[in-house]
Amino acid sequence: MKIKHLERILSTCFVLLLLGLVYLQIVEGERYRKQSDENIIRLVPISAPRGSISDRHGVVLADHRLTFDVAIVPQETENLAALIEKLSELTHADKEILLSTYSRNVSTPFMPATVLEDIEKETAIMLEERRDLPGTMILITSRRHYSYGSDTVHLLGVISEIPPKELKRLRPYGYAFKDLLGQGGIEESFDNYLRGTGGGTQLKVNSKGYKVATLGYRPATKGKDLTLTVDIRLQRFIHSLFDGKKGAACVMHPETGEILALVSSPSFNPNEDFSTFLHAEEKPFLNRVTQGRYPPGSTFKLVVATMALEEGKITPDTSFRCSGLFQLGDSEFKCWRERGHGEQHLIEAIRHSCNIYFYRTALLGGAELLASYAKLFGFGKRTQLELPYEAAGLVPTPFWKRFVIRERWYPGDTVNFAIGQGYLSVTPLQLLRMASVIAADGKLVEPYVVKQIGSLEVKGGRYHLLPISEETLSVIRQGMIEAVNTPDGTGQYAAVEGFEIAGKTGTAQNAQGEDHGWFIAFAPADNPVVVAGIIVEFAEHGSRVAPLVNNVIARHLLGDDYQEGAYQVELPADSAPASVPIIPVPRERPN
Amino acid sequence: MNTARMRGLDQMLIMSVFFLGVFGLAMLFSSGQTDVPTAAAVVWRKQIVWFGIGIFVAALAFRLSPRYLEWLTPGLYAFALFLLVLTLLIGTGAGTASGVRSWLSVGGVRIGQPAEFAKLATILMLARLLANTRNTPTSLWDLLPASVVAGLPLVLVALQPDLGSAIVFVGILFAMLFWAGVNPWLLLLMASPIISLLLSFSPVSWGAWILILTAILVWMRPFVLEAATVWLTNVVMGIISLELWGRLAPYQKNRLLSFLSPDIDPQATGWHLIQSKVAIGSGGFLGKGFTVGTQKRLAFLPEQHTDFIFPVVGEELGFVGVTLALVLFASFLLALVRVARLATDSYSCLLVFGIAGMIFSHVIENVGMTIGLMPITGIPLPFFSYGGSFVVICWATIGLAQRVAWDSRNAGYHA
Repeated sequence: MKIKHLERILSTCFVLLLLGLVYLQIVEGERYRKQSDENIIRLVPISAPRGSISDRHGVVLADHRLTFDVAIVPQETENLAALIEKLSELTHADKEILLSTYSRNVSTPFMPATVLEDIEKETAIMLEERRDLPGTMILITSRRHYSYGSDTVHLLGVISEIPPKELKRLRPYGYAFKDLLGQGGIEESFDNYLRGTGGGTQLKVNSKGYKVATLGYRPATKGKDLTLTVDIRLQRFIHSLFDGKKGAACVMHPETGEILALVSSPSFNPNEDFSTFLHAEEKPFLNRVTQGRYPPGSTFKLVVATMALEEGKITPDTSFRCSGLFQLGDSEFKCWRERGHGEQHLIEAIRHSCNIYFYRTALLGGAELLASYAKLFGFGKRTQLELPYEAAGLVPTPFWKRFVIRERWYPGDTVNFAIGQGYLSVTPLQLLRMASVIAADGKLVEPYVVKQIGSLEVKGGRYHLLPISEETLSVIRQGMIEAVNTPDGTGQYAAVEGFEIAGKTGTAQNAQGEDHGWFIAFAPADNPVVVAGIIVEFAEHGSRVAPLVNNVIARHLLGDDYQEGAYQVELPADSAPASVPIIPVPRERPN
Repeated sequence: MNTARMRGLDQMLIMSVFFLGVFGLAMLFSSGQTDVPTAAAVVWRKQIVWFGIGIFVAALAFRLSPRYLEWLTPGLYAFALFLLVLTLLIGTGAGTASGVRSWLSVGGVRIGQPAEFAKLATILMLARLLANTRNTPTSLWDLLPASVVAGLPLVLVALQPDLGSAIVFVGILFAMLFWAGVNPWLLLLMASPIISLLLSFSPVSWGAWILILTAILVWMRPFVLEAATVWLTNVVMGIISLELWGRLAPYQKNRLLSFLSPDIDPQATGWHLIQSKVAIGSGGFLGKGFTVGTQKRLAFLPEQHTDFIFPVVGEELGFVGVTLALVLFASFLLALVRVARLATDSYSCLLVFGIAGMIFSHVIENVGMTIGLMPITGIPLPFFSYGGSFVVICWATIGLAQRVAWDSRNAGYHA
């Protein structure tokens, strides 16, 4: 009896232990095996060098600069406080800062934790040669360096450590904690190509995380180098013309869509700490070329003209009389020239940028037709240039107004529409593309800025041929030529000797202050190879922008033969066309 | 030793002890083979010395007549209690548990852990007490003297505090009462307050236990006073458990908590258990190979030469190795039980069974804690773990058991 009980108790206990062991070693053995492997294997990532970015002639715009960092290997350090003290003495850096940088960077005992970044080369050599700093090492790291700093920042963007929010989204694509991620510009949209594939060292570590052996090594592969369509000399020249004033300029080849320059001002230097600019009032982070939305002003009259000619509402010889005032229902609309332009046909109207002529012309076609032509020219839609966060702009229609503003479309809205004011908003890039349609015989090109990825040529020059007749285009082209090259043209100050520039001014109404000035132009007029679109904020009127445009075009066409100051034109302050304030449209009585 | 004497010894006991000793030494050697400098690197050599001392003590114990030992017992027991009190007064701690007082030192040199000696002394005292009890105890009242004999050193050890050894005293007491013929149900009643204590953390299971206890009491029909005492003690235990919990040392609380849920704090409290389970589990069926277990080599496994030597067996020799160890322990225990059964007198009989109970408690507790079936209490595995006092006491008990076997052989008893 007693023995039987004993046997039962003994065997129960031993069987319980055995069952526990069976569970651990047989059932869950694989899992624990994996866990014990994970216990002892650590991966030290080696970051891949980022691809460089150069301009169309191979001038490097973004690459790497070697920098020296001081780091401490925790597992080789005996007295951290004393070491930090000594380092602070030798590098003249604040002890507290060294310590806080160290504690921010320290992760595992075998990983060097940076305490001081970017020290002088001489200091680095001095520290390297000292033998009394156990656990200290000089890390040679590379930092992204932008050779032209603020000249290219909107085009290229910057890189920064991946934000935690983004990391969650990008982890499936191979991004890891503390990876660098392009922010804005080419750096962001081509991050995949630029960043390369990281390598790493597999280490065997003990329970304290100390390295005991190296198990494997995989080198990092450098990212792809990019070549842009941009000409950095032109880019710098344009940026210097702006001289910190707010505005945007974009230069493109009208046939191929290659972006030759893309400047947004004001700018900032990405090689320095730019965090202070984040909330600056001038919005230096905004890429005004693709993200700025402005009313196109009088430049939109070219679209009105195209619509009217194509739809047979007018012929080139149709003439309207401009008395300086236009009556529509109860409202009056003025021309920018108070005494009027008198009797004039279409080409003259473009040359004078006459408001009255285009009020009448637009009313002949109506808002719907006008909107559909605006969309034909690519307004209201992103151009798909390879830069992130492009704005689409807005082309208003009666339908849109009914649903969004919850108001009906008044004839006054059509009148505003005709001179590119009101709800219509476009980006400088879109307006540039409209000019290129006229320059390139109706081709709506797809603009692009990346010419080459690694050794792979990007096939650019794709376009969409718009259904606009050659006659219409040549009439409008003639109007643009005369606008620049006749003494009473609104763009006369853009004229230069040596080649013929065709252009159109515009003034974007600005409720916040002085109006913005537009100028779109291409040259040479008979066989255009360059088209430019420039907006200068608070320029008051488009003609003020004209001297910018001629210099930009001359700089591009003449290349190194261009001489600074050759095209400076004194601007007479009074003769420039100003935009006319829109008289609020009174609600029309239904009858 | 002459051949006649050899014939009188229990061969199964000798064989199992021999293999356990060799196995244990081999694992202790392996536990010192690490990639990280450790004090455990040379302990296997010291352990050989301790084994030598142990075998010498075993030979001395073998010379000791059970009669003489029985006469000595009260003195040894009193001496053990004296040492335990002394330890509480002037004892020192060791290693991670430096806050506890479990060592006796002379001039800064630690000479031993009195708790180990107290275990043997308690076995002797209980054997003497129960052997001289004419009638088998049938009521809880009858169990009081034995409970006091085991309870005194238990309390003194628990005050050190050394929870692992305290539990061993319970194991010894229950094993010997059981062997003395006490009804197992009565033992369950005796253990019931402790069960209440453990279950009181969950009101539902504690309530269920009280109902079951009531049913057992109704079915067993002990004396009314006794039944009421048991029942009330259970209720009181359930209520004061939280108070007792508050009095536990923080590391004891953490160990109990991490036993319940090792993932609470994997870096600190649960570390021992998680790493122990990973070590054993990752061994799989055949193990990673002798001396090459990574958990041990890279110092993930704590106390790999003392309390956590069993996971080294599991990691390096796999399921085959741990089964072999358990089979050796089982045959060792069965050999002891056979010696006890064939003993010539009840004192020797109870003495040997008490030894079996002690070894059994150590094995179950130690192995159980390494695989998460028991709370982590810090208790050595016989013949494997490094440690002086315990090794010597283990060998001494084998000498005593062999003397009993030899006596019974010479008296003509055969299995």
